[in-house]
Amino acid sequence: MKDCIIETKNLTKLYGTQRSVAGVNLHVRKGRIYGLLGRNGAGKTTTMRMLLGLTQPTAGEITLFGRPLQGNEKKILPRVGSLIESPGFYPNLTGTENLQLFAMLRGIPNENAVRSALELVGLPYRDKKLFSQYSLGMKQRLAIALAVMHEPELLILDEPINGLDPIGIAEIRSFIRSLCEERGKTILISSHILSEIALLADDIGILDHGVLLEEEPLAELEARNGRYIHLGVSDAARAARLLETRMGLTAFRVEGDRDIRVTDPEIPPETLARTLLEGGVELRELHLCEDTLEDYFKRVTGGEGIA
Amino acid sequence: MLNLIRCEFFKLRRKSLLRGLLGLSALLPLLLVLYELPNQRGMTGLTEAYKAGRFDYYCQCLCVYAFVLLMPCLVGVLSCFLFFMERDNDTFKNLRTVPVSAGQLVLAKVMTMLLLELLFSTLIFGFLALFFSLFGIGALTHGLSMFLMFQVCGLLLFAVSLPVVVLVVLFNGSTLISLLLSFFCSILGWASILFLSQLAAGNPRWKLLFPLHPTLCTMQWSSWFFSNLADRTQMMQMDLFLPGTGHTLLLDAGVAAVSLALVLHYYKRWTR
Repeated sequence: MKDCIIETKNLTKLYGTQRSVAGVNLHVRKGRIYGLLGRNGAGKTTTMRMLLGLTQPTAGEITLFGRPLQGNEKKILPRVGSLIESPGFYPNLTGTENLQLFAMLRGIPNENAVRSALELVGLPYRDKKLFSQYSLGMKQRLAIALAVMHEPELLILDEPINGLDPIGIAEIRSFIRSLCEERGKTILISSHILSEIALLADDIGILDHGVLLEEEPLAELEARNGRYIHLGVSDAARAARLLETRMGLTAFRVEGDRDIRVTDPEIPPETLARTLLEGGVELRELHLCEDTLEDYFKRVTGGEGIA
Repeated sequence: MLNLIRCEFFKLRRKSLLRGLLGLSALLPLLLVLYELPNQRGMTGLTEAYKAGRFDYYCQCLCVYAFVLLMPCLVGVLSCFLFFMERDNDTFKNLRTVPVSAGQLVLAKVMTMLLLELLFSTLIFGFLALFFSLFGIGALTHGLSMFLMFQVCGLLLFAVSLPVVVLVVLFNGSTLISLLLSFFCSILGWASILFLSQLAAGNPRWKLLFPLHPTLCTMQWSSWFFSNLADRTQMMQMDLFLPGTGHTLLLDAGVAAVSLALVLHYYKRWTR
């Protein structure tokens, strides 16, 4: 894809004989938020570490900003901001000092960069509190400040809302959204809180056991898989025959002896009800249902929840 | 690189390291003063030449003996502070994404250690001069040459103590284990010098091994290089092993280069 900021081809990582990431083809488009979903141990963090050059891939290619990462780290990495796993800072320094240290290393000439980054995440500038005295939420905010301090074009954020309280989550969510919408940043984000990803992401990738099972825009996914009609009937097999023969309907799935899922939500419910009743099938339930991202995730990955 | 070194010093804020270094550098000269004071008690009319001789003698003692014993410990302590910082605080990832390579980081840390070592030898020299002047037991007649000797000896002994950093990085253990390891290295180094000297006293052919022992070689060279003409004549008459400047520098540089390569090799394993 032409407008891809991140593109991987058959990205693979083996630890000994254990396969952590297998043949992942990731496409993160410019100016969009890409939500990477997966259970613990699915390979999200390893994928992100490889994208940042922190772990060498066993096989495959990584292209960032249209250039291969390998050999171009010095040109590419300054354009990337990241938060990987837990926030790592020097405990004997204050939050401001920690950011000043990395500003010094990055050669950021703007004196106000540290102050602005801290203000963006709601942390005080020149506070005397040492990093070792920070709460988990404050540490996470500081890590986000570090990621955005140098105005990167691409942000790679691994579980950025970990440890934040509900208000903090909402603040960070709107902050991330504004980074994308107002400043045009491209963001790759992973989270185990699916509802958060659903609220944030434009595109979704589902990683399971190191394999990227699905990758598509959230809007498309919602349109395609989001809504369905659930029918509770006395005899599912007979009802299915009636739907096929009398209505010519094929967009449905029999789920057990008494349940049918009609995957085309545009069919008028009254037509469905009439057809079944006229065919002598007792209709117990008829609901218009909407799949959450978690339902979709469960379906794609094979049933279990994300945690 | 300068930026990286600046950052290494920045990371040491609020650490007890600099205070410890200051304390240790004051303690050693103070012990020497306490040792010398009773010797001079009752002695009157001490000449300036005598006082200068005492100061020079203690300078050489500190350089050649105390540094040999202390340097591996100092290098061990400094390497624990500097090399474990990223590992213990999980900040490798932040540095690597700047990007700072493992090689740059190792070089910055070793340069920081070297600067701290130079600070340490300057402080020791300063305290020695201060205490000897305060108590009137020594005179700073050859101040500049003695100061130079401190720096050169410190630098060379720092170079031959770098294998301690290799061990600290290789074992990658707790700070306590690493400190014990460096103390053990210090004692082992000292014991090996005593052992070789003892063997050579019995059979002079053992002296052939002296040029291969970096610390011993540096000690002998320093004694020779900074001694005055009379002492040199005496040393030659005693048929001591006297290594050349080129030989000493080459040997020490070789030890430092191999150590740095090994440190980098093992350090890269952590960061992978």
